[in-house]
Amino acid sequence: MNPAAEFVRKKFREYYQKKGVIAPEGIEKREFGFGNDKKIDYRHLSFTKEEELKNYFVTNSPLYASFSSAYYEFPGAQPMPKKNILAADLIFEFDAECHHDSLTCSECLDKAKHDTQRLIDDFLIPDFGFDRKDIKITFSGSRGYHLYVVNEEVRHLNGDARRAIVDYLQAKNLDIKSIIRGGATLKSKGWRGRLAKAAYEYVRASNEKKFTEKEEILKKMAEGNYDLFRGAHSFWDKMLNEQIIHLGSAIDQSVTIDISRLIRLPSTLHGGSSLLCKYVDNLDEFNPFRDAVVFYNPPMKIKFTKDVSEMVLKEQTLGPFKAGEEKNVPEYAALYLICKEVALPA
Amino acid sequence: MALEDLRFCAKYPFTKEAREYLDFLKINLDNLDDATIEYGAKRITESLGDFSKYAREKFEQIRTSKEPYLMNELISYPVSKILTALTEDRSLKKKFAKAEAQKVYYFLQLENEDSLYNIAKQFFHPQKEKDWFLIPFQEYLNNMPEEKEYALVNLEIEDGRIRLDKEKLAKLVSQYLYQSIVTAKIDKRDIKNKMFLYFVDEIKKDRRYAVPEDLGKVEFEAFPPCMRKIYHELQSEEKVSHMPRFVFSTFLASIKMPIEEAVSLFKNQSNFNEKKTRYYLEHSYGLKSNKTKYSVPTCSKMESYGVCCRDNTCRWNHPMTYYAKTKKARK
Repeated sequence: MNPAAEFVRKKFREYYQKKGVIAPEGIEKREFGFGNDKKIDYRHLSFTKEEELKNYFVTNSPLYASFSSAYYEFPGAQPMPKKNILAADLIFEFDAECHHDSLTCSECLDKAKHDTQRLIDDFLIPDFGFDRKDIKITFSGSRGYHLYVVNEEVRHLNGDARRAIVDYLQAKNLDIKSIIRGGATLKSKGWRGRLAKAAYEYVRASNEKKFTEKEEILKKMAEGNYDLFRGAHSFWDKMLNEQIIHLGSAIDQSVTIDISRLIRLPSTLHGGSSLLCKYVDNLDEFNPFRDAVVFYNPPMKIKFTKDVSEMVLKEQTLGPFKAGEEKNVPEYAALYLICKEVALPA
Repeated sequence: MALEDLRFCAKYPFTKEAREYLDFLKINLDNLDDATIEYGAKRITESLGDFSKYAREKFEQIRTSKEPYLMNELISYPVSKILTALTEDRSLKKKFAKAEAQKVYYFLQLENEDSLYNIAKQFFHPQKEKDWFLIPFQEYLNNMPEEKEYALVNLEIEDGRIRLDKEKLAKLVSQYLYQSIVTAKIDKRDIKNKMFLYFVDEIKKDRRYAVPEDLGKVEFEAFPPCMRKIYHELQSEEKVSHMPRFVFSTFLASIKMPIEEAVSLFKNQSNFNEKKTRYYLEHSYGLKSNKTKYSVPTCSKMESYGVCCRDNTCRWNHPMTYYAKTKKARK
């Protein structure tokens, strides 16, 4: 293993010695996976209690730690069918795809935050009837958020049912024609009502000339008469696009659908950032570059291997830095930069 | 039980009422007679063909038939469900499940709202609200029909409950039935009545072996060791159990031993009853109402039934091939 990774693991070990890890609910039924070179180098591991899990972290201090959303009778058995799946939490993943030249880009993470909030407020609570207290959010330690629905009812949804939920959030297979033909009013529920309201609101707020007799148009729309919008594909596409939940890539979606997947274990450190994967109580006020930083202030010397533009960590502005230069930075920033593979311990 | 209640059970043999009735009759799958299991097998093979008219025809038959037919319809359902599970053939399971579901969907649409609601309550937690039935979304999603109009996105959902009209609720119940057939699993080792295994083989029948239609005069000397053994056992007074008797009778039928002669082979048995034996053999010979002739099981099946006694003369994989080849060689 390279010295940088060795250094990070030493720091991770110190952290785990001090803070331990929190066992996920039903620890004895979960599968665990760990990695140093890759996110998951080995899996099919199982633990019976929190103490045992903590010891594993102190001894091995892996750079990445994941656990199964599923509960198994024999979590350590392999191949997969021998585990005998009993249930699985319902999980959504929002990853920020950031193309900005910043290692601490709040803008992109805020977008992921916004989508997470919208999923809860616009879909999970009103449509699916979930209780807010059954919805848990974690910061993944890297680029996004995981949303867990933890209740007895969703645990037994099969893979097809989970796929149907993902399709629903993205309005896949929505029969728009039947809505235009009069199948939806402002009182309709689900996607029909959502689109009817979006179209109504759009016209109400619009200054476009074609909506001159606005009152009349709105009255008709409220009754489910969309004659004016027949064949107006771009209009409906626009309405739809604003409402759907963008779950991102197929890989992000597979977290929801594939119940044999492993996901980042809350209360553990992320080897790609040194930030803590942690539960978020108040999403609105959560700032990962402040609230998920766990290391300390003492300065430490590092050597930059790449140019790094100005960044903000723990509310401190740092940089910019040039490749090749050696600098003293607080330990938390040193670890962050080393994990991001832009610097090495000097 | 009133005839109308039995009719209900025949239409909906997957309901609580049907199960309770079978319990009440103390019907035990371990000691069903062969004809009943065969009826179950027929229920499956019928569904594998063109079943576009199947639902309507069945509906008429059930509507107009009396007790024996209705009883058969009722009992053959669990039998056929076990048989399909035992085939471990996913495509066969799906075809059978689809035919059963289609039939029940047809029946349910003709029910009034209250009856439909009462049946649906056995599998889901529906609530009635004006013209709608509200179903918890989890229950809906685990049984969601494939067609686009049933996609969640095209339905109204609020507060975790999906609004369905009567037709969609009927479809959901039928889809539940479909799922229960497709996902049913049974361990062969748990089947005490080996006749189930015989009919599973019949359903899956592989006709790779070919035997000439007319084998000529019966020759005991050409019998394969398994049949010879059963033949000798039958000559003693010691009771020969059901499975060897059954395979032996299929063998006698296949080599076309005259039925009178076949009956006489059983007469040394202490519990010999000529009438019963004849009835039984006539079944094997395909002389009974359904005209089905039972074929002789393959050697590997004979082995799994525990009636194979292979020796070094066995060079074939089917008792009938053994008989035909040996007979020809003796000429």
